[in-house]
Amino acid sequence: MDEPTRRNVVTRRTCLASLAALAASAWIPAARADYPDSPIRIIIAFPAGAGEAEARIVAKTLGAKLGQPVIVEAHPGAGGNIAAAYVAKSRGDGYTLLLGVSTFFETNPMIYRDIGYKPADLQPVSIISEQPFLLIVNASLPVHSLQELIAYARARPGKVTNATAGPGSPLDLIGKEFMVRAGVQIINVPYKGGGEDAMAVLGGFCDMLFGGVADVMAGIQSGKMRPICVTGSRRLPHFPDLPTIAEAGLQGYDFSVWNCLSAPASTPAPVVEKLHAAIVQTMASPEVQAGFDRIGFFPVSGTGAELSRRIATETEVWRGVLKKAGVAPQ
Amino acid sequence: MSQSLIDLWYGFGVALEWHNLAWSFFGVVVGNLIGVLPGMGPLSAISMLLPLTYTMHPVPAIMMLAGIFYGSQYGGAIGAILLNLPCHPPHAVTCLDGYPLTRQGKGGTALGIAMISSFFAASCGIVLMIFASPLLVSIAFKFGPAELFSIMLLGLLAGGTMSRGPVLKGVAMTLFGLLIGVVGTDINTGTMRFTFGFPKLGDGVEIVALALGLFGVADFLRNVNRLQVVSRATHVRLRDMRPSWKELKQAFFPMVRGTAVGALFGGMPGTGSTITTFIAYALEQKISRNPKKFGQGAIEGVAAPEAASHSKTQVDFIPTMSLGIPGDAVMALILGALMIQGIQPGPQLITDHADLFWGLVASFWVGNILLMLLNVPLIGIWVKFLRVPYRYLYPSALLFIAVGVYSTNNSLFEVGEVLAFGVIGAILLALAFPVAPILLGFVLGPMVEDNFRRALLLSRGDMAVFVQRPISAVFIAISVLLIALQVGFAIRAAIRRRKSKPKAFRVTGSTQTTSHDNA
Amino acid sequence: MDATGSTDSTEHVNARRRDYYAGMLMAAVGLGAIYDGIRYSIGTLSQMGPGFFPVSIGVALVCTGVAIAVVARYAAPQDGEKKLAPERKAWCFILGSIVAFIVLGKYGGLVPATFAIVFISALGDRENTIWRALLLAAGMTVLCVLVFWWALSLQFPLFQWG
Repeated sequence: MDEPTRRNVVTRRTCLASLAALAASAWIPAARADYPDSPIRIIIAFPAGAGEAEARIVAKTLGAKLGQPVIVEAHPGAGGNIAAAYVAKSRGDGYTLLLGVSTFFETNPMIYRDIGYKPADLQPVSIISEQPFLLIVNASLPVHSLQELIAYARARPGKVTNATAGPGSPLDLIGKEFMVRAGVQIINVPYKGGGEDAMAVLGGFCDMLFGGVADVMAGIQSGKMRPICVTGSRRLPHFPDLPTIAEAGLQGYDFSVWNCLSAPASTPAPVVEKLHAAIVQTMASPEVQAGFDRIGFFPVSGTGAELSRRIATETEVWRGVLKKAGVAPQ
Repeated sequence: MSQSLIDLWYGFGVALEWHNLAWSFFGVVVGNLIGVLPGMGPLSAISMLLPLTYTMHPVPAIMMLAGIFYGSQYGGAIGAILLNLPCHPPHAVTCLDGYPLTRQGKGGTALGIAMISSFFAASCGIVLMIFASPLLVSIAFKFGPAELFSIMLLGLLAGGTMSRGPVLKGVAMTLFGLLIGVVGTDINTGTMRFTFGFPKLGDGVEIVALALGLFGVADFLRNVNRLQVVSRATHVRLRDMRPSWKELKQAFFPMVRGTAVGALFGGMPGTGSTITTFIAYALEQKISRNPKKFGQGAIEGVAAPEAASHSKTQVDFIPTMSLGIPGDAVMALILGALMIQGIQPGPQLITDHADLFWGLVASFWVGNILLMLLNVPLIGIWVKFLRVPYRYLYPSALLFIAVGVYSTNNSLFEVGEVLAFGVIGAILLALAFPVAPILLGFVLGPMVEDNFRRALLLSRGDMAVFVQRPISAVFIAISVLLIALQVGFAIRAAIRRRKSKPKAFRVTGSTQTTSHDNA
Repeated sequence: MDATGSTDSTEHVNARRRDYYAGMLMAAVGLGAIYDGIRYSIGTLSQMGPGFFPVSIGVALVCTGVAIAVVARYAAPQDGEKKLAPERKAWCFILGSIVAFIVLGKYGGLVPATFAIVFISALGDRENTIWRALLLAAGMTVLCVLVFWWALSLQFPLFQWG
């Protein structure tokens, strides 16, 4: 088992490290010569449990590649701002990383009046996953394709219900954008996430839902939910026959949420590079591929600069969506 | 049905395999110990031990995790009964009658009843899981927002009037709890309410902080320098450590009812254990022939909530395993663990991974037996703890509370919430307010509001939906009845009071109010 | 914690006064809720805005609070519980210890924080000598580090600098 060795290492090393720190507290250089030489923390923004699967899968392999244990620590709250602010304010030594969701960088600054940190304080190290969503309808609806859904909704304005995870959440915005582009009037019914929205569709209380693969897989297999299409630009390996929305008729509609690993902006370049190299290897490894496959994510990697550009472009897209949806900063 | 029995037999074979049994035992013991620590619930425990499961085969892994879950429920009752410290919010209601029993020197009895109720309920829960899974799931689906609203409304009314003594004060506290529940982000519009500029409050007050502040810290503030030892029983007789036959008989039907309540709520996702225990308690009080004894050490007040919490724990697994929909955060974590292991929860879980499912079900029973064997002898030891002078006990308990609350979300802000609610709780207790209904209001409030608005959203603004749907109509009718009865009683009491001298006046109630009474 | 002034009987709390204050407090809280809740749009019953629920709770609280106070006013004089001397020093210590935990937790680490909370709160008890409090604090700190930090891998650095 890994656990006991890790603990012993941590106890001994951290005691020694504390003593050393006592002796030379002000002069610890930000980049130690042999990074990494103590455990690294990945800070996640979901309460312990729900969103951890992805982090843990990555942590396990990344730790193996870097030669140091990687621990997952949860700082939930404020739509991710608490975790992001925590990392933004930490020491830039490469031992504290953020598992950032695209919404933190792209939509949160527009939804929250004060996110608690300056976006410039974080630098993306690499994208690690993309998560497209499935457009699902309750199986009892006589709808088998996107065009049928749009026709069905057009025939019943204000009657079709869409289960979402709350206003301002990416799923809600995706739904609103869909309505605008397809020209239908659908009612958004917010739920508290955590599968409650999927439950609503299962039970027949709501007609449709945009959901992540993990949330809806069981429902699809039970026959109570029917997938119509995928919101991203790629088809899902689990459902090779399922078209993307763009293919099915709504041109230019391509939304998915991505996750990345970010570090404080003050982290020195050599550390970032080493980290980045390890991440690229991790995301390409078979364990991570298999693990992500099960939870419905696509493992990817890229440079920080690429990601920054992507953030900039996508932010503009979301800005437009938010304005049309009429969501104001809180 | 006979197929289920065969599968169950097979499951026992799996569960009793040496390797699996060992991990089950480990999970159960760890869960039990963690459950005793205030603030640390199954969520923290499972999340800390999750990495262990990566290198394990899925079957023992899930058995261990499940063991931690229900093991921690056993532990939570201990602190609630002996120290008025709800180590985990669902056990707050057990404090109400458990702690007075301890003060009377019967802490051991209370613990014994709690253990027995838990075991009984867990066993029933397992039986339900085996034979009634599809039924429970289909019932769960019948509960839409309108039904949930009506049930929660009834729960609020029942709970708000459940405290012994002045009804008005109980109602006020329930309302206060509702108000605290409003703090946070409104789900329908995204507006932040009552957050006073603290971003952390955007997700609402943390329930663990609320419970520990109101029940724990407030109590310390009340008792410091005034209490020498928690339990004055200088000579603990063996009789007091085990429940007597009479007490067992008293506790039997409450156990059964509590189990039923827990099973019902277990099937409904989104309802937590806290609501379940409160409603079980309130139900007992309402149908009891002697409601006044609740809050002063009624065995029923310990048996019913504990039974409810345990049967809910078991039944919680049903929607998780068969639909992949977690009923609450702990289930979400277990679900995540399953997925990391490569197991896809859903209807085919039972067929694709028969050894996992049936082994798990069997391990529930094995685990519960282990817990009983573990805990019953330990009752004596726990009770001895009470002899420790209060002046050593409360600083230590404070430490556990602080660290425990911190560990829930790695947040020192929440420790600050404990502080705030400790002060608020102490003030309220001094004003002779019962503190328990606050927790009830806090938990039910958001559900009542959300479901009300959601039901209206789905019915396109038609208010009649609440009485049109049959289940909802039933609960609304009961609620109306309850209000009518309360008003009727109050009027009758007022008339009676007018006729005689104002001696037996209801409102100011008792002459002796201590922190754990609900006067 | 007593709730009344000193003009009452030295033995018992005046239940009427206590309840009167209780009611008024609730009414005040209710008013605060209404005042704050109005800032969010209220909407109607079938189209509830974010402010509807808080305002209705506030209204209900005001009514209940006033009812409690009114009932107390017209009640027969009755003795409440025995009046106990306020333990102001102990309360300061207990509350201060929690504050110390938070501050030291953020800037000092787990060890100073646990030591502080046990030590300071123990000092609140009149029968605890400084030495005993110190011993208790040291003992609990060791226990805490063992149980939480080592055994449960709690994510809280033992020592940290700012």
